[in-house]
Amino acid sequence: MKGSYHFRVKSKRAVFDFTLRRNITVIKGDSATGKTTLLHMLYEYLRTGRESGYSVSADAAYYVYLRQEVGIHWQELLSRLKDTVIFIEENNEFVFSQEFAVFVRDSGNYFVLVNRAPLKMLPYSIHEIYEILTAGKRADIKESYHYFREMYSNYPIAENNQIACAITEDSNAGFQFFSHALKGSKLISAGGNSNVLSCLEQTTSGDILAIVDGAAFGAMIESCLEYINIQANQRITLWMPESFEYLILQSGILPSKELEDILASPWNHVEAKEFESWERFFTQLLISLAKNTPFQYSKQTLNPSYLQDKIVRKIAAEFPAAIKCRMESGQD
Amino acid sequence: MLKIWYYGGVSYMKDAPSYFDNVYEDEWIEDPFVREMIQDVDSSAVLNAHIIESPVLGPITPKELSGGVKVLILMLKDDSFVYNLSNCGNNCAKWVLKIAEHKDLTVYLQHMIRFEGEFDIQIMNTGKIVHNRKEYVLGLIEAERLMDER
Repeated sequence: MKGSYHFRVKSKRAVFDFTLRRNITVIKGDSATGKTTLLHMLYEYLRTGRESGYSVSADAAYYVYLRQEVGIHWQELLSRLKDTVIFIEENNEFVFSQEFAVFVRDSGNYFVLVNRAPLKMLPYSIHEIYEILTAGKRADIKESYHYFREMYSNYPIAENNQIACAITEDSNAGFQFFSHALKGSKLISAGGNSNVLSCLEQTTSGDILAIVDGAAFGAMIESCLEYINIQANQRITLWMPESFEYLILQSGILPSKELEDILASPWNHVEAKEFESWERFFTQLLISLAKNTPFQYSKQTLNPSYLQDKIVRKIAAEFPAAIKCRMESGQD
Repeated sequence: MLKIWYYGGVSYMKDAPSYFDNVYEDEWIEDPFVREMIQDVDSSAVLNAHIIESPVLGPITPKELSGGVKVLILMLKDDSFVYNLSNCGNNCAKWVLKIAEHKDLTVYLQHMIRFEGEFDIQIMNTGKIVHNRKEYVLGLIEAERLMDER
């Protein structure tokens, strides 16, 4: 399953309007924003159609799992579904299990999970964690209008970060690139996204830049941001591009019409059954586009072609200003 | 005092909102403290024990209250179980602290609900008592690490 899917779910009193773009979407946020109401409306329409009194317009088949049916394991129910958007209500503990993570990876369906707790087994994007907001009610519209808002994408880049230390999630190619690009800063490899928080804690002085793959950092974002927010004596910037490979693809050093199309709408190209996260898709894409070019790519060891000054500048062109500024001062 | 088990260490009620639907009592809803919580969290006015006026859903029964407020009411009124505070959003945090002013309240937690200001919270996994947001966040990180090591 791939693509973006628009849903409009309507009762006489409320409208929910949202679009899903990746295989895993998480809804959380305050109480009483309409999460349960939305799933209830979707469920009732699924059960009785128009007789529910609701209307649902959706670009895809969907299913709602509210709670365990007596005598039927979740996997038995869900494994029947193909090319389906599966909504799962809060309080279904199986979403934290390794079995569920394997199921998500292999099923190829899209999943919408209502849950405030980090889903540590799943590689979900910081861009697909939403809260439901209600727009101000207009006098000419009878229903209240509810929409999804990304919770973390607009996390600000801290200004004036001197980047005494940079922590990369990556231990191989990405780490090698940033070691070169951020000369003058101490570089630390976290060796995986689950170790980023420990590295932040262990780096107790100087400004820090942490570079993580936003495409799969969803389960870690809350604890990292809470930790960063309580640090009064250190500037810590968390920069979350999709992935290092995405930065290279975006830089234009491997120009092609196909790549332009893909970057304009990745959701139309990332098959959920093949790639459990966009990070893996972009890695595969880079390997395939760079094959038989001077920029042949391997995640294990960075091809020195990527460390030429003009190439580093190209890749860095889209970096946040605070990071570019630090790179320039490191070259002096 | 509020006592938090983070990511484990205690058995807890798995589906408190459904449990609430089966056990709530009229007098719970009419309690002035509960009325105030419902007004603040759900922006809804309790008209009587059976009817609540929601700005979005219109007139509703207690069964249509938000999951968060149902769990708050259970924490206040029914000590039969340990409840999952991760059923509650940040807009419930101050009410949890208010409930815990009057009794020892033990809860389970799976995310970093945001408490503001000064407070006394015991992180049960480590036994430490924390008093502000910084100590609380560091306390939860320590507790989570402890659970991961087990």
